[in-house]
Amino acid sequence: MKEAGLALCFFVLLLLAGCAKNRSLIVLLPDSSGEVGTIYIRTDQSTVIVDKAYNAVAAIRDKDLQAPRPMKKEEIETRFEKALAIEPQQQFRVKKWIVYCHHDSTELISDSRNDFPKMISNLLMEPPVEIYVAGHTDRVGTEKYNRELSKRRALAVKQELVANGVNPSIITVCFLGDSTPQVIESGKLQEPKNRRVELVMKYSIEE
Amino acid sequence: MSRMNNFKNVLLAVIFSLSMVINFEAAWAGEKYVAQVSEFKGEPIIERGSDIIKVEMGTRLQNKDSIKTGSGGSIGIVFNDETTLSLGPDSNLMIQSYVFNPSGSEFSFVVRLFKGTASYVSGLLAKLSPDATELITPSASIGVRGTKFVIQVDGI
Repeated sequence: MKEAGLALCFFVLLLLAGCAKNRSLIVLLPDSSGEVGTIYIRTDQSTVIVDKAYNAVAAIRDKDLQAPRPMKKEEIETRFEKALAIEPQQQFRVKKWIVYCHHDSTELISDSRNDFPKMISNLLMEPPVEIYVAGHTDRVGTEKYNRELSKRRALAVKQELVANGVNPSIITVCFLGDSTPQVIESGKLQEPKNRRVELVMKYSIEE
Repeated sequence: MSRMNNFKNVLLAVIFSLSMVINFEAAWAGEKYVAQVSEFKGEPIIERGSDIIKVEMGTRLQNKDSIKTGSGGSIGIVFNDETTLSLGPDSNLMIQSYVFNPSGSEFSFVVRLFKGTASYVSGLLAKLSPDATELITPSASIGVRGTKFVIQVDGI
């Protein structure tokens, strides 16, 4: 009997210790259009990437992260019922197109050049509410130079959109230089995938 | 006499520039709202400095605001770039740093979830600057390259 009492005390202490650990449970979900993104979970000890829907990671302070594990939909619905129920309705959907440029140039590579007419006709047929044209570069050259280059790239794309009939008042130009690479350059500074202009379009969702 | 006039002119110039600064700050205040409440249940509150604000439909939020849903409360908010966040009961979240300034090419989305449950859906910001979004909890930090996830933080 005494042992049982001790065991119970020990169990309660364990529970308390467990609570004090401060656990975060993170679950990746598909969005309303079915798209599944990527999240990076970091602690002081480790990083885990989650890119599959319904995969969950529990982060406990001072412990290594475990690999993502699938979680049952019913459990997700129970745990997150109230937060999911009050989610604001999506008023807009966001689409992204990327075109690539030649080294140190605003000129598009031939694949991107070939895609351009299709892109324009899409934009004219179904006009977005807003278009953000964001220029980027790889890491060859100074930060300042790359900011300028990314600005020139974005402006060149904007000019081409406007010349083809896209309403200039919906276009905003951003220039991010080499700050936001699409792929992390491993040692080398040259990276064709980072010499790019991203077009981010905001479309209103019709009820 | 002319020296006195000079002094007056300088003084006027100083007062004028000071008033410009104050006006500029007043104009800036219109820009400091980063999100808006789209719906809520129960009685969530916002802590802004030492003020406690009762949430209503359309209540606007600023950087450094803390949102507390309380037991039985929940809330949905929409940020300027259409990122949405919703919180379940007994949640506590702070907007640490939100900047959506596309024409100035400045982007930041850093929020802290101290406890409770949250659902996040990305907007324009995560698409334009994928590395700018970070959700911090007491035991982890989550970088987001889109698009939707839920998170539960057990309190201490």
